[in-house]
Amino acid sequence: MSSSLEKNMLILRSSDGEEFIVPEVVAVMSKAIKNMVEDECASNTIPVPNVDANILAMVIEFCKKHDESEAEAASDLKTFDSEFVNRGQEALYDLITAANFRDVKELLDALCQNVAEMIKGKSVHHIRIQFLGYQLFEILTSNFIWNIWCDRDFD
Amino acid sequence: MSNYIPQEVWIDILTRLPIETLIRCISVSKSWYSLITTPTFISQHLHRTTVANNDLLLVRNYSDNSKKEHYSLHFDNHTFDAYKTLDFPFMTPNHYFRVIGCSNGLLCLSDDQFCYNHTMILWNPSIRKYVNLPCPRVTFNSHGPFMHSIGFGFNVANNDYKVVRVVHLQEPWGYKAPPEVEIYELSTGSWRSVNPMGFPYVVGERSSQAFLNGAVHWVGHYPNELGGPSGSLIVSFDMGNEVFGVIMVPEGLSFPPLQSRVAVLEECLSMIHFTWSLYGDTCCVWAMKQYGVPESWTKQFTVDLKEGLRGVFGFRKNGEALMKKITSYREIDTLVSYDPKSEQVKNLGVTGSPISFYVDNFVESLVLLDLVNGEFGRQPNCGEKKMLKGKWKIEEEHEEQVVAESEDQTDERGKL
Repeated sequence: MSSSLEKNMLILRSSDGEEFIVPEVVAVMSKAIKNMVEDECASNTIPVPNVDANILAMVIEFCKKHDESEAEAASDLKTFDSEFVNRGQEALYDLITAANFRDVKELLDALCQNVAEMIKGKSVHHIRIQFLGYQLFEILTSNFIWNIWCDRDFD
Repeated sequence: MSNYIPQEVWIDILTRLPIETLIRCISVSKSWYSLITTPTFISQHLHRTTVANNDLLLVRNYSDNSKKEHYSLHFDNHTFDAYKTLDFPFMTPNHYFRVIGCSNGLLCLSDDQFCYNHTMILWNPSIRKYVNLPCPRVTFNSHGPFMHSIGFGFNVANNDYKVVRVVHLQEPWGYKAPPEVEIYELSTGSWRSVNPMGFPYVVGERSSQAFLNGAVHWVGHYPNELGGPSGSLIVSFDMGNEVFGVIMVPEGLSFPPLQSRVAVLEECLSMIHFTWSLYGDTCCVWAMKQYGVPESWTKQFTVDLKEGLRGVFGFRKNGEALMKKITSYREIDTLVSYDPKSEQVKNLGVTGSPISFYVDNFVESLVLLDLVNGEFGRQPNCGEKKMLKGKWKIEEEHEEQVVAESEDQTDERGKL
């Protein structure tokens, strides 16, 4: 198989076994993969555990765009980034985990910025529910107890 | 869901948030509270904000009628847009504080404007936190009359803020030349004396500072036989190794002495020199292109002080000079920006008493967030110390008791 593959191509295998053929320049945007390639401890197929095919495809799409558009205007890239990271919360968390684990700096940067934008201007309760997984009833009850406490007659 | 995102990524995300949101985030959860209030997080956040660089200018002004200082933030852009107003919580019998300096969003205030008074405060207006400095060692009560200058700056080497005080004691023929020098460090919370190593120069009375390259700069002079000044020069004090230095200035700037002030112009040390003559007052600005090389002093521009313009006292990022201009109202000046290339004067819409203006670069930061308000004023303040002194003599054997009492007093002050 390796003979049929061009020299500067790598195969990435996701956690659920799907394989992606990507140019080496794109793959090494991940520091973790870069280290593996430089140390020559990787065969042609590089396993990417903890990242499923869906997410891996997204990460590759992002890296490809960033690799191609080096010469392109920075503003174009910015719009692409903001559109790219504008996803549901589940996908966002999976992407963050993948980007952090595989050490893809540009992607992690864009994702963190997105989460920061989401936090900006939100109330404390909102942040608790959305990001820390508090349940609504917990907040309601804690509020309820707090209200009772405050309304108490202290004399 | 926070389990999904590792701690280091949360730090990355939170450092991107503005101050107001972060203050709100403190009360989101205990883990966020302990994360945000760590010194490492505070300096990471500061680093990111400094790199992003929003170009804010802090403006202080007041009018003599209101007896209230006004602090506001403006964007350093073409239109000088107002960003926000800051609440000023302090009071002093002198009515106004003197702003010593501003570094990383932390302001150093002192109320030595008109008399021997030793209240000094480090204040972070963005998060409304402050630290009272303890009473310095050299005071009027302990050493008699003196002349002092204060400097404030950030020491990068150990990530600490320092206040340095240079005190020249009065002598029959002038001021004593190796001064008494003391340093306050935020990390230790106390003053300590420093040996000036026979430093022969005199720093002017309440000289305004310029903080550059990790050193504080003041205008000083070498005293002649009569104790008077003989030509100005720039005295520097390195906040890192705590050593004095001296920077010579060109002949034209040196005489007449004591008619200049230092500032920072486009990352260069600069000197503003005033000349008064029959033919019109002028104000000329020189900059030292290479720091520490006296040959690199170059004259930047001269401003004719006409049509009510008063002297230059600072610079904006685009190289324009900040000046005061007389208005038709008595004792009220307005802040203007002077473009040296086109010689145009632009009104910035800020008015106040002529001595009230203070403008400096500002960054919104979380410095002092890990402290309790007023915490480092542990040692009793000057007035209290005097009060305690009497007790001390009587109850020398109950020393511990006195110490305990003094701590109680400080606690009460903290609550106020």
